Amino acid sequence: MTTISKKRLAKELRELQTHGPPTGIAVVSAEDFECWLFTIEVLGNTLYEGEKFCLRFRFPGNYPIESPEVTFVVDEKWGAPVHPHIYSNGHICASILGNEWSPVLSVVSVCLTLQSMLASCTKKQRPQDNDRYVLHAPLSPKKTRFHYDDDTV
Amino acid sequence: MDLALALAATGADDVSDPSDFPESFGILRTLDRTLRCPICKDLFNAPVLLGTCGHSFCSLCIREALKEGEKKECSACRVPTQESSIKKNIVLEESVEAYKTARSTVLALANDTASRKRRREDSTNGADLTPRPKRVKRESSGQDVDLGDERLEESEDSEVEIIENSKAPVDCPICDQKVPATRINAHLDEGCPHESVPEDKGKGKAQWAILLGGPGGKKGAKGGRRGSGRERDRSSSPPPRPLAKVSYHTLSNKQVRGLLQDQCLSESGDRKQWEQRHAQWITVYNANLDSSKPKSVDQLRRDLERWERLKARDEKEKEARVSRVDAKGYEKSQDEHFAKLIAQARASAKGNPNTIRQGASSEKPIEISSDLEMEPESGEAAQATVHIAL
Repeated sequence: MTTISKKRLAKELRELQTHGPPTGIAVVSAEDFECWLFTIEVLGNTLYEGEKFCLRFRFPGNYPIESPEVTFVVDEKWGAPVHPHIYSNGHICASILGNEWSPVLSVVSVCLTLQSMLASCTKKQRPQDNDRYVLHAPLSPKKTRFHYDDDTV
Repeated sequence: MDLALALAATGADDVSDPSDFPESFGILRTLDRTLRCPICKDLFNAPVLLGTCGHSFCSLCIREALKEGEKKECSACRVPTQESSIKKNIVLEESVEAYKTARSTVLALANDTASRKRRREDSTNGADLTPRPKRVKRESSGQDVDLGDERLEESEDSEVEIIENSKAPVDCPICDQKVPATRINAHLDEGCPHESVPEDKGKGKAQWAILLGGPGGKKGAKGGRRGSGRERDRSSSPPPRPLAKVSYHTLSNKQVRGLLQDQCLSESGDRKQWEQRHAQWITVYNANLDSSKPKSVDQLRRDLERWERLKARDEKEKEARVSRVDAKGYEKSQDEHFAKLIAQARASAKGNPNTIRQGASSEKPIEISSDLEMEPESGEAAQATVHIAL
């Protein structure tokens, strides 16, 4: 990890500490500059009321030039939200995590985007090709070339 | 969360941030934020302006971002742009340099004022500790509320407050010493000790003036730094030109080596490393030209070597991690699935030989959507092109 990415992450961490994370987001662990865990819940009257999910951020060495790898944690304790853009293995199809990433974005802004993506969901369902994708998905969603064509959710 | 440990791990103790300023100085936090590059969140280093949209970044940051992204666009507003639109932002650099020198003084002044105010509030309010939550609320809403709130809280000594804000020295009513307005309360509280501040105070005042656009600040900036900068510009022989980008794939190995030799760069490693080294060199070299205080070329070469070492170490670590995950975790978790696939394949092989093709999907990645072209990216494991149609 280069100093630039560490410094930038240190600043984001500092910001999280002094201002606190946005409503509905909580830091689970941020002990190094490689992997951070957050819990995320959607407040208010939405399909995901009362549900809580865990988000994992993995940072590449040239963050923020390169996007972080963001997935929902799927294990015994956590599950991925049922959403048309979120696969059951936790991979997220969101343009800002792929070709629309901009180094101006931050951990907090990604969390907020995902929160709003969940909040605006009108029907709880898996992506159409969920089973097929999950069987062959690479470990990191960054190796998948998603096709982004739905702006409604 | 062990922040202290995490911060120490950066090895950089100068991780400054707008939140360094006390909450009651929301204005200064805003000021601090606006003088930071949106990419690295550090105070601008050799700031440049994108002619296409007007946003500013550190030269190196935006050059790296343009190099990495598939699309050439402004990181802040996504307006299409290209490297030739990068222009030096001289005024911004001067402002940031001035702010850098003023920052520690401003920070000290702000912290001092905030802590004294807190002390006073604590002593006047006694057991009533209600102002605390108010303070938190006010911080996000900005300066106007801040001032209003202040007046409410301290209406009984509002006159003193106004004088304090003017930062002018006042006569102590007890010992007749000249005491900075910001210190008068503490001075009285401490029983009139000898004040030895004028020198520091003068400097502080000038720096406040720079920030607030006062006459003192302007004069300082013009007479000092800017003038010398111009002189240097004039005296130096033709300014070094930026290096042109190279499309390496049209060049032979010998030619790429030649490029490295031209720049006196190391020729170690393989062809891929040569190209990366040369491309990175062009980026840092050109970014360095945008600085009014450029580093020496030798220093840049050392930086490049360091960058390469760090990168190599990173890749090594990453490989080690990935192989750990691959070998044990993945195989175990997919054990059941593999067994099922094998059984399926055997069954179908026994039955109709035509169905084998379906069962063999574990052998190679299948194309999920045929209406999209596959990226010829070699070396990647499973490559799935996924089409979501809703």
